[in-house]
Amino acid sequence: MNTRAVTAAELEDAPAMETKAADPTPRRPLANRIEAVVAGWMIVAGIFLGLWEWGGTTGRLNLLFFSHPSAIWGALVEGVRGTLITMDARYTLLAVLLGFTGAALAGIAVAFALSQMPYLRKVLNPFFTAFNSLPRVALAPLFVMWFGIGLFSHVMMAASLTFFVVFANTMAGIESVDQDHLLLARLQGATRWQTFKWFIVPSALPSIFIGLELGFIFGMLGTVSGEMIVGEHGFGVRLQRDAGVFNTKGYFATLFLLVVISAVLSAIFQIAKRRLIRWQTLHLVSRSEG
Amino acid sequence: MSGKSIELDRVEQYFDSPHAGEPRKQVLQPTNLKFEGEEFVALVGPSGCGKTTVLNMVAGLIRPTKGTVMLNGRAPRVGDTDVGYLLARDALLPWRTALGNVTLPLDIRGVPKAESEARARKILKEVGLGDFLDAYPSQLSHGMRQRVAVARTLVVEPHTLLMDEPFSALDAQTRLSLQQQFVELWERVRSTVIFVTHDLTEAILMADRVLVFSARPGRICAEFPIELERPRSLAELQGTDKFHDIFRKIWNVLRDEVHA
Repeated sequence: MNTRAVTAAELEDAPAMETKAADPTPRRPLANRIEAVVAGWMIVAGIFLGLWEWGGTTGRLNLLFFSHPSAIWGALVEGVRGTLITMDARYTLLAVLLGFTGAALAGIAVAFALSQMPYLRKVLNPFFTAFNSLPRVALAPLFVMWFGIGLFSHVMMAASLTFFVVFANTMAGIESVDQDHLLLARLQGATRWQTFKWFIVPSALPSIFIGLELGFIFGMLGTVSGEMIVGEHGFGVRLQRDAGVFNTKGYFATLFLLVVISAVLSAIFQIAKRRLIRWQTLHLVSRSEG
Repeated sequence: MSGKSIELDRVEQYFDSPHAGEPRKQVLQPTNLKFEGEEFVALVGPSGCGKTTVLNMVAGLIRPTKGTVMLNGRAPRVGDTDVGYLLARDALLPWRTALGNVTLPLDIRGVPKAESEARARKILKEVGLGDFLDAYPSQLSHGMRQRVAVARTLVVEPHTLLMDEPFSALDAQTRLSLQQQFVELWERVRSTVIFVTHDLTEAILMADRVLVFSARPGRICAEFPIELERPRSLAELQGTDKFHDIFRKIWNVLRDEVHA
């Protein structure tokens, strides 16, 4: 990676030239300095949590509705010692992962298949749009009727949302393929399979990743909202129960854990994306190195 | 590699009008053309005169409305491995390195990896990109990207080369250096070249023969052999009286068509 950045900069008319020619002790803007950004995060979080804690402990905030950070932390620790992780987190994550994985694979496969069948695609398109514009939460009671109150109905809730997001983004990626690239493939006598794997798939990859990332968030939404309607275990069940008895600190503790899990998975997606489609992030990488 | 013959026999082309109900438009009047092997022919003329149409017919991308096109005695076919097509836009795949973009046509033909990489490396060195094999297109300048495209076209050693304003998107200096490099490569390999351009200077400097197309509907209104010795040094040639004489002669014909 290093050698690449240098060779590009050596070239007399290379675009990377300007960054290389910067003065030897550059003062980078704050936005480009990771330590400054992290410090900013701490300050914002500190002010927010500080005010909340202050308001809660001095009685300026109604504890029944708002609780306060230290109490929430206590509830979180207590929850972790109890069944929050072992039952609820496990249950929700299992449902999301099963639903997401199945639906994502299906969404990608169906998009690629339909891209090869323009007629079928035109026929199915309005049905897809209709189903996708349906507020999916409205399906939860139906899914309970069909699949029971167990894991499977929550898997299906995740899947019903993930599928369309992944499908739509994959389709958009396939359609965004450069017409010049397709002309080149034709002129070079590429077979259908070669055109697919060397021209279409790589071009669709960035868009597929966006679909997967959004699909996971939507899958989480589907499962949790399904659990809130009815279920045995899971974050949604816990939220519903805590809200019912005004256990505000418990409620916030669960919310906090949901945010942490989403953030960790989003970070994993980012890393995977950077590895798989390195050519897209290349400029960014060589700039931060140079 | 040596060039092959190309023959257009009473070829005519009409395109449907974009407005419904209007009659279709003629873009090319009946045209006869013959290209002998190892010949470098430039087609010049005003925009929309049908010169690119001729190129696309030879590539097999479009079928003439009337008449026949023969490439080595056979109808042209898209994806013919013996025909190279170079566009103004480089169409490099951003997810492949310079080397990967040049091996692409060889990969498509199923050439073993070791051999295809060796051939790609060699030709990239010849176009002056030996140090940029692993660079991605986004890291290369316009001129370098077009050099990769030239290498990608030549790596399969096509007997026929179709070029559609391949250097038009480059700045003057880069263009001259690429033209010179290309002429040198061609003088070694001698394939049949049909070169479409709107740049008369480029046409004279590079070609053996210049065909001037009329304004739409196009027809060939003049033909000029370019009797300049090879190997050519393009930068020097531009200053010679011989070049200026040819330029003036062709421009006298072309001017009327461009302003028609």
